[in-house]
Amino acid sequence: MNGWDESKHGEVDAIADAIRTYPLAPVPTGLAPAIMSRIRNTAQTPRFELQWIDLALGLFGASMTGLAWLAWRWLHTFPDWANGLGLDALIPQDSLDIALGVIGIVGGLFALGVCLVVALVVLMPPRPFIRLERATR
Amino acid sequence: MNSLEQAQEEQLVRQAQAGDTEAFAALVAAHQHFCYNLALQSLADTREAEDVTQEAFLRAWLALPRFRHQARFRTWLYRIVTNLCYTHLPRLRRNLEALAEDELADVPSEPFDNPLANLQVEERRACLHAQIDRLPESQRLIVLLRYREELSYEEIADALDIPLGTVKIGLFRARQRLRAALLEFENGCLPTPAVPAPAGDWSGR
Repeated sequence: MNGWDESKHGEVDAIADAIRTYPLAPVPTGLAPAIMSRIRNTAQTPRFELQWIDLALGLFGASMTGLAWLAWRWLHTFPDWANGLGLDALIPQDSLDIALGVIGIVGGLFALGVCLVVALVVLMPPRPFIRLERATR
Repeated sequence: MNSLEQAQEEQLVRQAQAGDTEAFAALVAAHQHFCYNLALQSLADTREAEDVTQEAFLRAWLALPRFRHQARFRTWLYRIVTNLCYTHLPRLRRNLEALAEDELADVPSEPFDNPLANLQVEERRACLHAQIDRLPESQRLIVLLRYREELSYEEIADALDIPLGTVKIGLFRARQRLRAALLEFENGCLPTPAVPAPAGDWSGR
């Protein structure tokens, strides 16, 4: 490259002048309003966008479902298992015990979920809040 | 040429990034003219140019939160327009890249002389405007970005997504063509246009 540098030559010449004064086509009437109309429509419509909290809650929901299923299975196999180990006292004696056990497990999972949501809301970085606020303006 | 000072433009961009649609409307008002013409010079179709301009501003709005002020807003915006034009007209990118096939070895280092200092300025301008219309669109884009929008070579390379060397070659080739046209005009080979060069007879192109 041999360094042809127009600024070095202080070139304000006929060609530069012609290009600077080259007439541009007029903007179509209503172009800017049309653009702003599309933008305002977009701004008013919250865009669907997955964020980390959606993924975290999805993962939590899926794992809780799996845990509930395992707990349910465990409730049915536990009597045989406890009987084999001689832990008869731990075996639910009637349907009330089983129901209480199920309620306890489900309630515990629910409480865990609530705690997780509260923790996420408290610890959530501010940026997603700003974006949601903007999207609904 | 848009009328926004750089500081004012940056302020508007920051306001728009915070969700201020009125600030963005001011940016649209300032840049719509050149953006539309950039698309028009590339696509040579008024309808498509209008669509591309709308789409470019919409994309700019949606991508604005990710704009980091590392480049000037207008450079960033022109790049969006150019990318959309490339999608509409793949030949455009090929034409721009083909500029790089020229050798730079014959780019002269001597100052560009002005052989027509004594000609009537208006006649000369009209002649050159007509010649600019006849430039290949790849060269016309580069010279307009350089002289009308006063972008640096680096900014043009960024806006058009082409190598810096290609910008220099394209600019040189365009000037070379215009200079040849000027010389022909001086020698009476080219008629003086009866009316100033059209703002582009875009409807028929």
